[in-house]
Amino acid sequence: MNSYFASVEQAADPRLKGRPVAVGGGIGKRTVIATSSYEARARGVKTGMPAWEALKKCPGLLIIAGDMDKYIYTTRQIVKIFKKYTDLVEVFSIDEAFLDLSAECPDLAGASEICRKIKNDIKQGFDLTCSVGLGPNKLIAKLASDMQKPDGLVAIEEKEIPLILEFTAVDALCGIGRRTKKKLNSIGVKTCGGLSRVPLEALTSSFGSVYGRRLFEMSRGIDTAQVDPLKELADPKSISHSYTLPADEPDPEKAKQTLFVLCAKVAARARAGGYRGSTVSACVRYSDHSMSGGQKKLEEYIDDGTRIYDTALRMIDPRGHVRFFGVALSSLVKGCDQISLLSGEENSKAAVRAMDKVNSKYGPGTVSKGFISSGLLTAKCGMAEKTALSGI
Amino acid sequence: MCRIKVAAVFENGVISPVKFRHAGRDYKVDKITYRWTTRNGASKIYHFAVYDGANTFEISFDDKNTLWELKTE
Repeated sequence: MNSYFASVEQAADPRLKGRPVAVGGGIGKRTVIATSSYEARARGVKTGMPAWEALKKCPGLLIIAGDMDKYIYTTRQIVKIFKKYTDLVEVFSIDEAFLDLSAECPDLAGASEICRKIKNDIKQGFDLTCSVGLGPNKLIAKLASDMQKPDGLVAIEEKEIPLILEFTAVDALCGIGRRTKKKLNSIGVKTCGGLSRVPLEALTSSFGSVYGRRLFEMSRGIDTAQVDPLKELADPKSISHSYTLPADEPDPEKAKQTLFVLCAKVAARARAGGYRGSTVSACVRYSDHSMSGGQKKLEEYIDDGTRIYDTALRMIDPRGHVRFFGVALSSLVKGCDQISLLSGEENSKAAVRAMDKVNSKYGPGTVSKGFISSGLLTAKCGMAEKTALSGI
Repeated sequence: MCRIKVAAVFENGVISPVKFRHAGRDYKVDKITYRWTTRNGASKIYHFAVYDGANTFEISFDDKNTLWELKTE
């Protein structure tokens, strides 16, 4: 899809059409640009750019807070359009998918016609454009889709591959990133043509036997990976949440409340998916951009926010002026729930299950665990002050 | 979010708001520019981006609680 999030927002609000628009995590100055419209890109706005820099490059830029619900819903509907034409649809990301049309049509001309129909269906249904690439395999199809944006339809036949790849930059291929590009450039390899002339032994020696061979094949346009419709259903490797605070938090105890909420969210998502994990990762970034963090492997699998929080605190002990937290639960397993011999622990699990049931019926956050900060234990009528967990 | 009164057409499983009232003023929906759905607990929420010829609004219908809301800044 072409500048997907920004395009969805322009489709939803006609006043934004033709204007430089960017979608960020929020609308404050700390937000980072997730994507921008072509009008904004023409003025130098790029994905990943901080909002303040984007506004400097494009003073008339309109930054809109992203609405993931809207984009995810749209993607689901677009995938339904794809499935009208073929069952073999692999969702590659929120705005990209591979379709295997080889059973539906014998040649590129037939496939091109199907692609035109798909583009038209998406335009009619959502007023969105997409760039489609056709090729004999996923690698070439992806390359072709990047060649004409926006609203492109590019087909590459088998016989055209060597000539096209001869002059294509190495990092134009999906699977070759910044670090590999830098390493290849350092040995004078800038194009796929140049890469194809590097002996296999030299590639496996520099990049390992698996990736080295992969580079060898990619440089020749070879890709044997099939379109895998089950990939969208694959189990996640980790569940994580991160958050940049709207303003640096000087009070470590208040900062810990944010960390607690993030841990609760990770745990809630894990439980919703039936997962437990045994590795907790956490990191904190401060206003001076210094960072600390770590990863801890536990002896058991957990899905409880408090346990994740306690583990995270063993790795990061927030001091003043916290800017950002990140928490992840990994080494995930499904359906691993052992009965504890400790009645206290079973009671705790029962309470969490009840909380999940209430939230499932009445909406997330209806009920949540309270956070009692040790720093706030005072002589206020002998009660500890509880903190609302909201807004994150 | 704030609650609003909405006149809508329910036809063939599709909901189409036609006009709504907010802060004492009536707004006629010229065009529904975008539709999407989300879930909140047991409720299915139908979202609409609606254009009255001058401004775009986001209104939503909660099917379990049968209420319409307007997204405010």
